Amino acid sequence: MKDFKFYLDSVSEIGFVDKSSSAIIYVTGLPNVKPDEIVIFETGEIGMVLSFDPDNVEILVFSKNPIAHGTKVVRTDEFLKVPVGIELLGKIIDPLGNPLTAMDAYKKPSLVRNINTLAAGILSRKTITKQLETGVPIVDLVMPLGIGQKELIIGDRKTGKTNFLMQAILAQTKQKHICIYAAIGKKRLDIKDAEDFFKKNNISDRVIVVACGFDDPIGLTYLVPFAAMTIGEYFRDEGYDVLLALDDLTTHAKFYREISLLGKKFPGRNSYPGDIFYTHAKLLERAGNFVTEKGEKAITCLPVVETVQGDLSGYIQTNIMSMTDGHLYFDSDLFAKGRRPAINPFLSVTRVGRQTQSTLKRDINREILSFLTISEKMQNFTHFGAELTESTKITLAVADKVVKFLDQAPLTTMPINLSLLLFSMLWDNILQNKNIEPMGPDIDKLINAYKSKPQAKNEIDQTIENTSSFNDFLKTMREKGEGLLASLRN
Amino acid sequence: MKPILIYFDLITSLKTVDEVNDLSSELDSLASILFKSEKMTFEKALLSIREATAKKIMEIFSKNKIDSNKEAVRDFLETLKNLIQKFKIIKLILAFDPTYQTIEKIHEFVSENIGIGYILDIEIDETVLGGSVVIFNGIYKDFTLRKSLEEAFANKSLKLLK
Repeated sequence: MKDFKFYLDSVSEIGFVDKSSSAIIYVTGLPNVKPDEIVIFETGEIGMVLSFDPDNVEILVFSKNPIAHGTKVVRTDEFLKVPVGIELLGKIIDPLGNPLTAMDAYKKPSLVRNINTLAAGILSRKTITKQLETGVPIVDLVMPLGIGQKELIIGDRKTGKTNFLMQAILAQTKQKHICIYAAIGKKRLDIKDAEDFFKKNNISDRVIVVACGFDDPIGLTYLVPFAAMTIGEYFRDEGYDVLLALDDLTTHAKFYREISLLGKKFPGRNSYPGDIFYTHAKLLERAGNFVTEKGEKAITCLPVVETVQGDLSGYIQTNIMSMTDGHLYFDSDLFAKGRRPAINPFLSVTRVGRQTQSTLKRDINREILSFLTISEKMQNFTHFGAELTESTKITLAVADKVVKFLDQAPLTTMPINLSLLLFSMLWDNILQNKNIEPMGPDIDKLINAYKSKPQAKNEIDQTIENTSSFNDFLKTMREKGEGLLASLRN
Repeated sequence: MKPILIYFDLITSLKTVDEVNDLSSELDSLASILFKSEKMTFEKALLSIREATAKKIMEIFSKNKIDSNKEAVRDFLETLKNLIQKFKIIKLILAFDPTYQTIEKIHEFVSENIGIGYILDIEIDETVLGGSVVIFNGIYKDFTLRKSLEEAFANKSLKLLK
């Protein structure tokens, strides 16, 4: 972008700051200004036109510096663009592509893309057919997600939502997908933690963090998810599958509410502006599974929304639920009971994930879900203090084992095939009344072995691929399961 | 006579933003003194503002036989204040501080070519060297010597350096 003088000479239009209220500036002049156009102040600050009337132009400014009355403004005849390119991989940037931390040899990419584009139409979209591996067994087995799905991550604060995102990003980078983490109004420390996590796991080269701290200008924070989506679209068009985590949209909605109230827009429910639904819908609609010149490529979007005391019926919460293909509910009660991740399978929904599963996976999914439903009912039964029958006690004991199996240490990932193998062995042991837990205490060793021993991995993958139903798989595991596990342990 | 025409002479005598601002603050101070106490008369209140302005106002009152009771004066002041707020501003950036005669000439040119109801906002910036930048209704036109020289150096630098 050129400087103030260049646009003054080339566009030959000028305005003067009339009044300002925080991030919103009112300007007189600029007769041919357009909505969403970028303007530059003589002091160097950049802003975007929100609206205008015959007397004033309303501008959202992307700077914390106060802008004095009478400051000159020029319009640029340009719309907001985000720098995109392979150079962004491993970088932490703000929505305008500026580095947020000291980074060696970072040069802003010269290629730029419009931040506000229309979502692709129905003809360039395809049915979701591939499963997205998150590395979290309860999701991969019970609430599967598809590549290109929009799945809402919802729950109270401090229930492990960001941890889940980190696990999903970790699992996806291993699949050579590009991951974009949009940190909206987060604390600097949280952004640093995310950076450290990516560095520690050597996945920085496939992750881009687009971030704005809570103390950054509200105009910039508002742009974060749009910039992240624009970068995602670039990588999709370059032939990559993209995972986009938007953490979180409740904060984004609050920032947008602040902008709208400062701009004197009429407040609606909970003081949010009337176009809050439109704002989020136009963003999320840009994700999906697409037919591109480089084949079928997807942007899987995981928007995060925070609830207050588990209330799923809030305004923003229900808005985003209606825009996504399901939600994973992180239950604070389960979290308090020590379940990790604290995903409540009964209150979670996945609308397209199951269609991506093979028959075997679907069988297992159905088995676990129906068993968990039964055990949950029985669990509720115990609250009455009634004497439990032997069969109830057995069911509850088995439920403990299944729940324990689905529990997972934070920030670790388990490959789907390994979790299928371990679950089938656990299930077979239960059916045979054996009190053995297949994974034992050395689960991390098993995961590492699976990742580092290609021969054992291939054997497991091949066995799973050749099996068409859960019953067959149980039979195979009875014969070969111990051997397969031994090949991992040795 | 249409009521607004009575202000014609006073309004057309205003040429710059500074003059309009001065008149506006004088009208404010006149109103505040006049309506501060019951006993204050219009003639006495006029002593609180510049003599030239007071004379112009008195001329309007006598020429148009306006009663100097407080109600009529209030109407007069309010209408005048509203009228002077409707001026359109032509901003000029010049390299020199123009004399009053120069300002008069520029304003006369504007009145003859565009019409009445325009005032000048003059800013001094020596770096423009000569000529003027004209800003009106958000349109920016640079007719300065600085720009001409910049263009000359950008396009014909080799020829100039020979």
